[in-house]
Amino acid sequence: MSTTCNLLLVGVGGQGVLSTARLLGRAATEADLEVRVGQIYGLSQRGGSVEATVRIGPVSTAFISGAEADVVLGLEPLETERALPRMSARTTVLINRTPIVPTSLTLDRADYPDVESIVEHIDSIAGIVHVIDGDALARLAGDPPRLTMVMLGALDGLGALPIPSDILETAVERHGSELDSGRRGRAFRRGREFGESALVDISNRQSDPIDH
Amino acid sequence: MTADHPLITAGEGHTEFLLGNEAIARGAIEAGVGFACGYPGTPSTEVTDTFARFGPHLGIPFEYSVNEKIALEMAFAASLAGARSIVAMKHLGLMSAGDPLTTIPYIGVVGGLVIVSAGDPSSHTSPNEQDQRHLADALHIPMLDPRTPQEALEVTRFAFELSERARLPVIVRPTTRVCHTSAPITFGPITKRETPGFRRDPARFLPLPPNARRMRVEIKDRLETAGRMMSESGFFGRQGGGRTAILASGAPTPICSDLMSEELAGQEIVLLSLAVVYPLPEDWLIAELRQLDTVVVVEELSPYLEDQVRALCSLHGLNTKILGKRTGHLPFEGEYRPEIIRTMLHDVFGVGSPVSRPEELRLLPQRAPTLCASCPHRSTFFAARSVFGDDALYFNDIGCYTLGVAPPLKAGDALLSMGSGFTLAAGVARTTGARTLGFLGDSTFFHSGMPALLNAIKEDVNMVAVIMDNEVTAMTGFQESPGIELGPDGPHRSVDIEAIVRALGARHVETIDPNDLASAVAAFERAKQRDELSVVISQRACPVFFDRTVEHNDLVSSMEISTYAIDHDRCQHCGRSSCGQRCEQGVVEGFERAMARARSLEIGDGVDRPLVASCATACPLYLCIQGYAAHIAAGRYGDALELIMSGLPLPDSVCRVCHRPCEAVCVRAGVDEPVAINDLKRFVMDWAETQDEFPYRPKGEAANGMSVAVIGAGPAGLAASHELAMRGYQVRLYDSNTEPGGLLRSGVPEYRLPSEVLDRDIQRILDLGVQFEGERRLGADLRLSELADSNDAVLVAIGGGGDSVLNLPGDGPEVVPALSYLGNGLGPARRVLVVGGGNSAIDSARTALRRGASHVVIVSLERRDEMPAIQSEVTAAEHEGVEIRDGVRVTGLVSKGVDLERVESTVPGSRDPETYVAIEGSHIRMEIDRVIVAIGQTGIGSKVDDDVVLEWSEDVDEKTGRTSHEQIFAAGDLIGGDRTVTGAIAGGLRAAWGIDTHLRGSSKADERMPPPLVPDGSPANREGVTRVDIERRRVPPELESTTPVLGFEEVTGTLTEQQARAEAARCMICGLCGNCSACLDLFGCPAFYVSGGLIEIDPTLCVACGVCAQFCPNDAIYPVTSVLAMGGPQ
Repeated sequence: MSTTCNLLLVGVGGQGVLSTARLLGRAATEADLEVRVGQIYGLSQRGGSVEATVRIGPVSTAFISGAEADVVLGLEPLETERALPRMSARTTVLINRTPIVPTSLTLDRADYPDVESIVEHIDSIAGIVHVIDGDALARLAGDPPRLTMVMLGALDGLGALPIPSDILETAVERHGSELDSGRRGRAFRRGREFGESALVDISNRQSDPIDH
Repeated sequence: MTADHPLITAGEGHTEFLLGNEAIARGAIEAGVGFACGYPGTPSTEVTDTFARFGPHLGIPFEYSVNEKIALEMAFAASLAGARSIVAMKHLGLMSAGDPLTTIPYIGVVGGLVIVSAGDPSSHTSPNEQDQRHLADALHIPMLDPRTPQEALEVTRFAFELSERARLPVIVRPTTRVCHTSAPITFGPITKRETPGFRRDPARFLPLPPNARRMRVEIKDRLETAGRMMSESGFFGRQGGGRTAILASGAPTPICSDLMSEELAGQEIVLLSLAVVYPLPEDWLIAELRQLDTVVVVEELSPYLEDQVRALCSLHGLNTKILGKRTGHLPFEGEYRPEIIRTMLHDVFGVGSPVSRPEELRLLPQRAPTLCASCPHRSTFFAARSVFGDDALYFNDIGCYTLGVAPPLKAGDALLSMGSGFTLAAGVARTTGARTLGFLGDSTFFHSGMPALLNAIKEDVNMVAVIMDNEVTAMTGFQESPGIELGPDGPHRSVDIEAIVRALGARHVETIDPNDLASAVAAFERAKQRDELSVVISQRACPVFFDRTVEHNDLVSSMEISTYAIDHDRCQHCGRSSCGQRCEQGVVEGFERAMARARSLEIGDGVDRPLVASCATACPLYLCIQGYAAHIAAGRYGDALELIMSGLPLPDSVCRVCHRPCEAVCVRAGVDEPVAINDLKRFVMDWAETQDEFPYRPKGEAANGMSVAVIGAGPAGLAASHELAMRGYQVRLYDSNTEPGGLLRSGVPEYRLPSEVLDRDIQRILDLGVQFEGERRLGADLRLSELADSNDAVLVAIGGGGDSVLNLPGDGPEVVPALSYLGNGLGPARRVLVVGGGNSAIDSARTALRRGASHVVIVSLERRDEMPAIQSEVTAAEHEGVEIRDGVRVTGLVSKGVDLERVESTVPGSRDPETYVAIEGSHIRMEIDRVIVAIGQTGIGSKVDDDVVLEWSEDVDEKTGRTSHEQIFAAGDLIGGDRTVTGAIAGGLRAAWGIDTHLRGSSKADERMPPPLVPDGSPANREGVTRVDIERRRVPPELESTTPVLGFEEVTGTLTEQQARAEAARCMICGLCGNCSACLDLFGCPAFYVSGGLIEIDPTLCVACGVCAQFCPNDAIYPVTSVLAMGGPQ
């Protein structure tokens, strides 16, 4: 078992992938953990596929090599499937279920692939897959919604991050304008509740012999 | 927050999570930097952004310079004044600064000068991945290539020391992976330095030839100092032990370093790595190489280090085996990901396992970056393309707008470098005369677009230069530019681009708001019509930037347009809803563009667009006029021809003789003048005639084994024959005359419809297999009962009852009905009076002139401008010498003359003769030799064959031509109707459908629907709608007579191609159309998507810019208002 936690964040330019990755990096630093955050930006900001890597542990490069992602945070279903080559049975995946239709599909007059089929595909490779209606939870926490904060909360609730929960929550509240801090915190806690109950569901299922 | 940020306040030993680029800035701050500048360019931008943010708090002057050359010179000037200075740019920018860069090492620096030039292997955000390392040796500039973000800080701090002691500028060249990797960074101490000021030293600061030659020699010493310092710097090292080594340079080092504790753990392999590029620590390298059997050089891009190592080994007689790019073990191109290095390790050392991929991958749709929803650049490209279409060439530039090269905007035929949007457009225009447009943004305009524009103005290049001013340098993350100053209280406009452009000498300059589509399209239209350089400045702030600078936490509770949505009843996407106009055409881009352009130019709202445009509703043939107009505007004449001929069997004749009810109801008449619809049709037909092969082949059904007899080969009979043949019937067409044509042949004078043109139309019908027999007369040698027995159906289309009779009292000149006059060869009369105000009257009058009359007068009840005749025909007749007496009635005949009186209508504008009363005392007598009566035709009443008696005008169903006899149908003037050529043709088509319905049933017959009856009442009125462009209609030329005397040659010519396209572009396309996905095909806003065959707008992406609603040809996009009640701080 590696002492490194490899997180891959994927989504669409504008959703907040890069800033979320840096938030995690700051929180990890705060927790005295070694961390590398990798990202490419420029053109990718404008609605293209975006990914960022967060590696927490004794590593030098921010690259996640091969299928070595431990956690995949997918802000968009199709972009999550695109990250399949990085997943393996050791990967925990959290998918936000709301699609953003790429213009290539629109130009071809094609429908967005069925979200269930995307989840099935990912499920066939990854270890644990959770689907979350992150946008809805974010709206419940206030307007404008803070999707990425919900998603981080959910990862925290699932116990998927090596960063202590209180440090992460403080980092979330400090991330951005002070005026918005309360909303970010609420979104994070909504997400965490989701994550915690999803974890309970899993352990119930695993202790239930009929399910196997 | 900013003023006490640890990046500028924390001291030695503090650890802060930072980007590599931020670490570079911190390194410079630790070194006591006194001046910072640069030009934004990914991946370097956060270096300068850090100074933009913190400079004021540190008292460090900072600027985003106009371009990299200026930035380098500014930084050098600061260095001359003794300040430590840093200048940052991307790799391409350094080439832009090439001129000063080459001389600075000669002069040397005073304060340390550090040039950050960020490289971009794999061209993530650049048009190339140039390797700057070669510049170091070539230009005598020490260079460092940090391996990690932490080292980026350290090499920068060191670079200032090095620069000052060696008196050379130093380049710090991180690559994307170092710039954009964040990590906990441990700080060193911040030192403060005073700027001593500029001290004169001409021998040192003036690189005049004698000085320059001396300086060149001095560089050697400086490089020696630099080499020594590099060797002592510690920015190189080793890890592990063994006789085999990996020698890594720069960014790939951390990958190798991780591999040392993974795949390579326990292997006899040593990792050597370095951040020094030039001058290399040669002693260290030699010492290491001496202990090695094999070394693999791992470096991105060119084999720079590999070649240096080869040279060193050769020089020192070492036999170390050197592997790398030259030996084919590693690629020359692109960034090195772990997979590349792992594959190499497996291949070379047999370590680890080959990198494999999971198998269950399916092909996913690509998600390329795109211009944001509501991006003003999209509207600018859309407006330009609406006007210039595919006929012009588009040159793009470096910025967000580069994304405009992608479909569907496709505004980029070539792309090169900053400012090249203008130079490429100018160069291609100069060498080829092609119409070109160049696009660049505000920041790029200041950077190098200004000289490019000046050059084009100087050479008087005919091009369109478009400056897309979104008030910020958006691509690189919203930096200021000379056009905008980002103060603490928000952005302020500073330099006026339009004033600069005018000062450069541009004569035709327009500033537009691209989101006001009508004005934007009109501006491009004006630019197109110019024969000289035009500048369009498209000005609208980047909404994303605006969004970020506006505080969102204020309570908003007003009614606002929050998004737009699609009305699926109006969106006719992909022909979902049929307008019934026999269109089998698909969605084509040029057509959509013509429609969208027409709609863009329209102003006014609240007026419903009808499913079918007014012109088509008024057209007896229900032709899709807006459809062929859009095709003509787009230059798609073949498609226009198809639309015309699929609904009109006698197009060549109709485009000459039609009474044009369409033009009478044209919505454009409310703006300026109706569109010259019939002339457009004529243009297409004449175009088709000039093609090598006639471009339209009707697609008829196979023979169905049934036959129909058609009696009468006038417009109705010919049209019905055509239609029946198309439906697979065997058609036998009879006429009492020798030749087919009916009134088209006998009732329309040759100068309007030459017989060879009519023959062309008829031949096309006969070519479908219609059998014609002339000189067969119903009641004589044709019997309805016999025809009914020998055919499955019979259509009677033998025309109307002839001229209406005007009973004039008294004896006098001969009175001839107009149709008889036109149809026979009645000889000349000197003075001719024509009674009537319709086209037949005009035809008679102009024919009389041609038959030798010396004086021809038309008397009409209606006023001149209310005469039913086509107004252009009236004018042409006057032009030929016909005298028009309007508001006059003939009261009787007298010897060698007629009596007339002036009349006026009790109902203004009425055409009913009963409403006209005489004006007392207005009696006129006129000398006349012949009176031609052209007051219309009568219905036929009942026409009797000997065995079948039918009351034609009463017993016939107008919609189907059915009579009381189940096998016998009737059409044309025989059964009444409007007694026009097009009305008769439409009747023929309806009767053919009626026959088909009777014989094969409606499910089959309805596959080709005939034109519906023209509804009573006036068509949809779109009062209040107008257009940005006011333009008179184009008039086709009068043809020159080849003889001095007025003859029977055709008098009216056809529009030129240019005229026709411009005239067609006047059409407002006021009906809906199913061949439209203009929003998807032309605009490409990411908020649009398709679901279940319907176009939708994603309300979470749409930010309600409303541009799409301005051009949607079907007016199917509407605003959704909502009460926004955003929560404030809670």
